Amino acid sequence: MWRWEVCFFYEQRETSDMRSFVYEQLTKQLDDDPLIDELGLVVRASELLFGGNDSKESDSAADDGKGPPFICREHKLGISSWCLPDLYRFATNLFLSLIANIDFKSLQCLHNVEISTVKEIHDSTRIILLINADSYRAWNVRKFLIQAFRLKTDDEIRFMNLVFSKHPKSGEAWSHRRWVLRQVKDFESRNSKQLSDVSSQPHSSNVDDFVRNDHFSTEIRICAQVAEIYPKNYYAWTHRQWLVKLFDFEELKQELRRVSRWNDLHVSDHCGFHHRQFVLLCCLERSKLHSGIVLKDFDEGNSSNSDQFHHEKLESSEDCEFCEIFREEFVYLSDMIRRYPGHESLWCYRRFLWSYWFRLQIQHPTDSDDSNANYSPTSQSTDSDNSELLLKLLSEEIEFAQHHIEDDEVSNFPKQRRFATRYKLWILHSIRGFCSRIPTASQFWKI
Amino acid sequence: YHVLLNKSINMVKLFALSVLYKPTSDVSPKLLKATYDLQQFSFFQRSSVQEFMAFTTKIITERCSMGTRQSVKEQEYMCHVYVRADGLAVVAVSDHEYQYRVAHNMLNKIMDEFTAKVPPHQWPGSDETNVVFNELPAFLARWQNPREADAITRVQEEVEDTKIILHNTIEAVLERGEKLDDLVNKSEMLSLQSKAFYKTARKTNACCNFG
Repeated sequence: MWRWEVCFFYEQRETSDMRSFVYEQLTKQLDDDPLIDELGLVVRASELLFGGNDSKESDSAADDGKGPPFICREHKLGISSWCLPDLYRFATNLFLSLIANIDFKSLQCLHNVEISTVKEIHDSTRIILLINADSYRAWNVRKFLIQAFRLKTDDEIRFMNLVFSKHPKSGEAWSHRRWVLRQVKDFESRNSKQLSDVSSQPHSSNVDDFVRNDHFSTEIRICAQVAEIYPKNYYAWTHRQWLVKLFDFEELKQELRRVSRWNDLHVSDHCGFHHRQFVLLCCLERSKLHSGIVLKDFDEGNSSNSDQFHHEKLESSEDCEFCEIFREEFVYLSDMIRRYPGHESLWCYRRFLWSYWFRLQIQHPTDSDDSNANYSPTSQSTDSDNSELLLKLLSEEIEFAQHHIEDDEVSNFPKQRRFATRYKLWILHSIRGFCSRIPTASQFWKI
Repeated sequence: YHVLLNKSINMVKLFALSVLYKPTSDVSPKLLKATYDLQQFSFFQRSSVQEFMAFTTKIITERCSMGTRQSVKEQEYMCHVYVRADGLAVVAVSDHEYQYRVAHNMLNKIMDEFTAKVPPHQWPGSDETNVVFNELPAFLARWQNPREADAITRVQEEVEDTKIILHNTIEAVLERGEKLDDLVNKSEMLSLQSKAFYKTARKTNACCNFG
C-alpha cells in the first residue's frame, strides 16, 4: 500500500530528487512484497486509491498534481504513466554507470564487486526490464548475476512471470527464460536424457514424476496464461512447444487433454490447434509409425509411392494407442465443427488430421468397425481389401463435408458452407493420384 | 474498447449479465441486477472494463425496441439484449464468438427465473439496492462454456435465428447524429480513468506496449 506520508513528501521534492525518490520507493515496494505477480499501467492512480466516481475532489486534485507514481494492491503493482520516462532514464543511467567498470568477459567478473553494487545492478535492471522487457543488455547482465550465484533461478523465473504480465510478447524475455531454465538442475537432466535416449525405448518416468516436476507444470501454466493475455502469441506457443518436445508419451497425452480445455474456449484460435497438431506429431514420432508415413502428394508418380500399399504390422502398444488417439481426435473435431459452425481453424485442423489419418491407414490399415482395436491386419489382406477400406474412409469424409454444406439450420451457415465446400474440394484434389489407381474411385468425381 | 479488453480476441466467454427494467420505450432503463466475470482482464483495468460494460448495456437497452432481440457486435465483443414486451430486459456481454443463439437461450432462461423470483408488480419500485435475486452469478458460471451450455439447452426451445436482429457495430444502433465519442464524454457512469483509457484506445488504435 502507498504510505500516506509519502504522498505529502513527493509533492515537496525537486524534480531531480523526485526521480531518485520514485526509483527508491518502487525498489522498496518490490523488495517488500515478493509476491507481486502482476504489473499494470494506470492513468490516474489516485482514482484507484481513493475510489472511482465517488471522490470528485480527488479527481480535480489529480488534475493539478499527478497523483502517486504507483500503487500496489493485492500484490498487483500499477505504475502511473506520467512517471515512466523519468524513471526509465534514471534507472538506465544508474545501470550504465554501475557496469562501466566491470569487464563482462569472464564469469568471475562479479566476484570482486561489492555486494551493495551488485544489489544496485539487480535493482536497476529490474526497473529497466519492467518498463522495457526488450533490453537485451539488462537481461544479459542478469545472466551474469545468476551464474555468480547472486540471483536465484527461482526468483528470476518469478520475476519473468511478472514481466510477462505486461510484456507478453517480448522476444528477449522469452529467450532469457529458456536460458534460465537450462540452468535449473532437474530441467537440464531431463533435457540431456531426452537427447540421449532413442525415442523408441520405453521411458521410466511416469505420470507421477511429471506431477512432482514442478518446473514443467509451472512452465506450461505460464504459457497458457500468457497466451490468454495476448492471443496468437507466437513466443508463448513456441516456448510451450519447446517444452513439449521433452515430454514422453504419457505426458504428451496429458498435454493433449490440457490443450483441449484451451481449444474449447478459444475456438477460432489457430495457434491452439496448431499446438494440438504439434503434440500429435510428437506422439507420432514416439511411435514407429513415423518411418512409414510419407507426406507427399499422391499424384506424384514417384516409384516410392509404389510402397504405399505395403502393409506393416502394428507392433508396439504405443502404436495402437496412437491410432486410438487419432480416432478420438476425429470424434472431438467433428463434435466441435457441429457445435461451432463457421470457424476456419476447425476445418484447417481437419485437413491436417485427415491427411495423416489417410496415409496412416494406407500403411497400417485398421478395421474401423472393430472398436476393440484389433489392429493387426490378417495375413490374407490384399491390396484390393485395403483400397476398399480407403474408399470407405474417403466416402465417409466426403459425406461429412456434404452434410455441413447442406445443413442450413445452423447459425453462421454461409461461412460453414464455404469452409465445408472448400474442404471437400481439397480432399478430392489431394487424393487425385490415389484415385487414378482405383477404378471405383471415379464415383467421387461425379459429385 | 479493444485496448481495454486486453486483446482477448478469441476467447469464448461471458463477461457480464444484467437485468433491467424499461416500462416504455422513451424511459431510460433502470438497472435491477448485474454480475460480472472480469478475471482475465488485468487488475487495474477491471474497474474501467466494468464501467464500459455497464455503459454499453444501458445504451443498447435504451435503443432496443420493446419485444425485440438484438445481438450487437463491437470489435471483439458482443452485446445480446432481449427487451420483453412487459419491460423486463436482460443483457449479456460476451466475446464475439459466443454463439448468439445460445446467448439468447440463456437470456430467456434468466428472464423466466427472474420473473418467478421477483414478481412484476415489484419492478417499478425496485432498483439495484433492494432487488433480491442472487442467481445471476450462477448463470454466468454455468453458461461460460457453450459445450456445457449445450447440455442445458434443448433443441425445441431454441430461439429462431430469424428473430434475432444482428448489428455489426454499436454505431448501427445509435440515433442519427449520435456519436459514440460524445456519449462517452457526457456519461456520468464513466470515471475519468475510464474516459482516459477510451481516448487512448481511440487515438492509438494499436496494441501499444503501455496499455
